[in-house]
Amino acid sequence: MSEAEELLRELRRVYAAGPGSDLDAGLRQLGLLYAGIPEPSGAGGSLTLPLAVAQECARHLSSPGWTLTGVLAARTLLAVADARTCLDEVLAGARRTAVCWPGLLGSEAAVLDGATADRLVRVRGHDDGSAEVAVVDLGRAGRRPLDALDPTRPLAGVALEGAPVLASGRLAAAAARALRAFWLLVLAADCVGTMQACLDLALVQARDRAAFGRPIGAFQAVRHRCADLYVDVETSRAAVTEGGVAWAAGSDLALVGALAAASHALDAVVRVAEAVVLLHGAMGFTRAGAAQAYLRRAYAVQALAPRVRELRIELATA
Amino acid sequence: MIGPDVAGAAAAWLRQHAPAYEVPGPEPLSPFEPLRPDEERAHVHLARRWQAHKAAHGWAALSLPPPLGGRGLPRAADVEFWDAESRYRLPTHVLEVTTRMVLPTLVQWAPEKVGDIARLICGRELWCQLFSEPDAGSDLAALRTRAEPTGDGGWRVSGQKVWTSWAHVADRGYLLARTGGAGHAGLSAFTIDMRAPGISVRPVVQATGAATFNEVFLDDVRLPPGCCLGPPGSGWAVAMTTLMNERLAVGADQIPYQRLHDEAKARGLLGDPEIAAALGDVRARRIVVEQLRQRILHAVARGADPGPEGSVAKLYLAESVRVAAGVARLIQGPQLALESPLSRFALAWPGIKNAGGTDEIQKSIVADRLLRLPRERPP
Repeated sequence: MSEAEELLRELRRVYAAGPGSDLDAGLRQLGLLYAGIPEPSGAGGSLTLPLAVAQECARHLSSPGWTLTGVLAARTLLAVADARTCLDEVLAGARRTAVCWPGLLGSEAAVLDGATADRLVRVRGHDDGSAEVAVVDLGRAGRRPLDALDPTRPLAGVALEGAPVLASGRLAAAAARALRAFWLLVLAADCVGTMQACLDLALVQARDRAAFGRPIGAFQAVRHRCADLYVDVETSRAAVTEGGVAWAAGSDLALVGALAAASHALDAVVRVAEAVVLLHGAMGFTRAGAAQAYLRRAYAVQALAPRVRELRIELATA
Repeated sequence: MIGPDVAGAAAAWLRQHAPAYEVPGPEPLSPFEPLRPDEERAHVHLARRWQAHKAAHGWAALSLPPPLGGRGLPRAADVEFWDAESRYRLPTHVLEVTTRMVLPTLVQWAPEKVGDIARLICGRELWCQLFSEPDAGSDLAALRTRAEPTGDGGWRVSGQKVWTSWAHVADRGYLLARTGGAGHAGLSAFTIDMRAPGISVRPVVQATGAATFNEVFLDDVRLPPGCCLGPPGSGWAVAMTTLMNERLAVGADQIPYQRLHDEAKARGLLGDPEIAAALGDVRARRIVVEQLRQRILHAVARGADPGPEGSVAKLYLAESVRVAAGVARLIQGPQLALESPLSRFALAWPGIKNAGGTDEIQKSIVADRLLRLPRERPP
């Protein structure tokens, strides 16, 4: 069994134990955040693990935000020489770390986990292609919890004036481009996880729900809608996996692959979540139904990420 | 000798040999770009010569066992060679039915027909595939062309086929006909001489003005003994071998991203956000199609048959060609009202939707075989 498969098996075991108060601790014990960084001395390192973790965690709506933000934070801190202590604290689970990269994921007006995190890893891109990374102590920042559309991923506005910067560094254009590609791939992997969960729900509904004396999954309209979902999930999965391979190989086309994966998955995730709501009929419109929760997730991810249209323009003109 | 790096060895050989066989002029945007009769004749002639040249140098059938003229390499080696070949403007399109669909079917079901296989590999005989009929397209097993035994081991065939690509230039045909009762079990597969008395071929002009496929009328055509491909009654299984191999043909080169990008750039349109975003969508789709194809190839390289995953790739490819056609319309603006290669490309996407099975058929395959949903109730 590969390292990734082993980790995923453990991850599913923790989830199967149910959403108790120790879910957070159980997940942390698995060392998920280590998945975001390569072996010591390893150069680029395979992305199989972090992308698999991002996918698997997104399948479970109960997963705390730090499984997404932590994977991003770990790889980002690794790129900054000055931030090793902060990285060690994140990996040890000693400090909850939120992330934000305006134009890529969130902004200071809406930071994922901003209300509860201890630190914020903030990346700012510059016009010359370089980027600036700062680790800010959120304990001394102004914070305003927001009423998030996706309640499983809390948001807060943060005011960083006067908050101490614990570490910082500047990434040259090439390193910034690689980091941005990594973030895009993780976002796309997060969407694939959401889509997989939606497909699972759709198939249960198609098999179990009966109407006119047979399972609704025997009607062509429903079957074909499920096939459309499957195409969206499998094409997105292929884009993320192969994008990760190109990234790890340090290919010149790594950013192109990441843009392709992210533009495709961020577009597909909303289509898939909407379809699964419709497949559940009126139940899909209830608060109690899981389909509705994934729709909130899909809309919220799309809102915090770059617009699909901008990613596509970059693909055609980069 | 070809080592483990088939792609590298193929690229090296092609660098030396392919340029002399390239078709002059710009690459067509779609396989449905019309050719004048003299252009088509030249194209077919060049295709036969290219196939003969490959055969003479041992590159025509890498996965066939050596006694049949191959090199005994895995099936994936064929596809690696096709990929390397597709980087040149070679006349392979007219050979695809022959080499990618008929050949693997012959090898699996009639390896004893060494003469047929040898003539096919060296480009002496082009083949067509006589499957669809006016009332049997998606529902292929409803076909009605009838083959009756003549008592001496031969058969006589009557019926009508349609959408038969390259029938007008083919020497041989691979025919699916009814020899028994209704349904799959009543079908048998045959090889047929396309110049036999009783066969008439009439081109069907496509929406773009091209005529790559035909109607084929079979009026009491005599088949000599030994023409059955596989045992009588096994026609459906033989056809499935062919259709599974067809899915290996899903290729990103049907999405001409670079050409569309260049056309937009030449017209100064890359600064238009609507056009740039649409082009970016096409580029992403091309990348994804290539990735899907690589996954299928890896599975084939591990020894799997090309399976229903090919339906996912086919669905996504066909839709992507439609999206690319939409970009061709956007780029042209008012010039779309005039005939041009780009306008014809904008019209050509339904050809890809239908070839190899419609969206509806592919979705049903996905629902049945990949999602294992309950079957639709028979009417």
